[in-house]
Amino acid sequence: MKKLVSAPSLFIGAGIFLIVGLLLGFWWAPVDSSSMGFSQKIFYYHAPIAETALVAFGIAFVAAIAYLRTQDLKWDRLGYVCVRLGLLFSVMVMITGMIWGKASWGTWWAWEPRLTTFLLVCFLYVAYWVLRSVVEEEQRRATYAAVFAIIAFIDVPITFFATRFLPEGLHPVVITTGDTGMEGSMFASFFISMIGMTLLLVALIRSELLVETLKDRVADLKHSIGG
Amino acid sequence: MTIEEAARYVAAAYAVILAVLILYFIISARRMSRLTRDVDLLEREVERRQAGGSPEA
Repeated sequence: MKKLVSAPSLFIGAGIFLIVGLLLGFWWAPVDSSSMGFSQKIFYYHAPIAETALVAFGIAFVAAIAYLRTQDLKWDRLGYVCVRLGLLFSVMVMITGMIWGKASWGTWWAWEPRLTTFLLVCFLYVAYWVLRSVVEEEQRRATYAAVFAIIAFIDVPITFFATRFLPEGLHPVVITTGDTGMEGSMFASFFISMIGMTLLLVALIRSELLVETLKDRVADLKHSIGG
Repeated sequence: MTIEEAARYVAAAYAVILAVLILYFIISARRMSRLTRDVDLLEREVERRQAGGSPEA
């Protein structure tokens, strides 16, 4: 059973980067001089969480392709875990985004390109979850889920580039090619938090895969004793 | 908006992140410990049966 215990070093590493990123964001990076003011401090976790959610959906997309090519259920398991974690991060993005929106735009929600496409991403991956729960047979469920994950992923790059293609929305374009769009100390704080969130995602994927392995082991053992 | 007003929104945002993560870790830890316990119990049961014991004993 020892090998099934998740490596705590990943969680510790993630925690260190996240705490350092947050401390630098509050005490080293200056208060934003634009209309956002102090509320811009939400950015140091909000943006890395959003990027991490999209990365999780990206991994689910790659896992879906790998499953369809190999029919190996380990890819289905990875995709399922990544969608679940992507949704967890999406919940945090949506709530912190609404709070930030209220603070800087004066409204909790606006039907503008980035927010609308991100909400659509969330709905698509909730539908992925629902789809999995209604199909009983394992291989068939994995195939349907993989196809759906590939289709759902189409909205992910649309969400990412929405602010660039449709700049009239409220959501600002911060980082562009060749320009971080912010002071060095702000970018360093953001980047450190980004590393922390990515490490947290890796740690959580690993932990969730262990849970899935344990579930399989329980099912196998129950089968072997006829339970 | 004053810094004090903005600080309330910032604190709320970080509190939400912390709350969601703590809730997730609690649920995940409980699920992991339940599954680990189930595996241990079932493995012992399988070993006992392989050793020739009756399931009712």
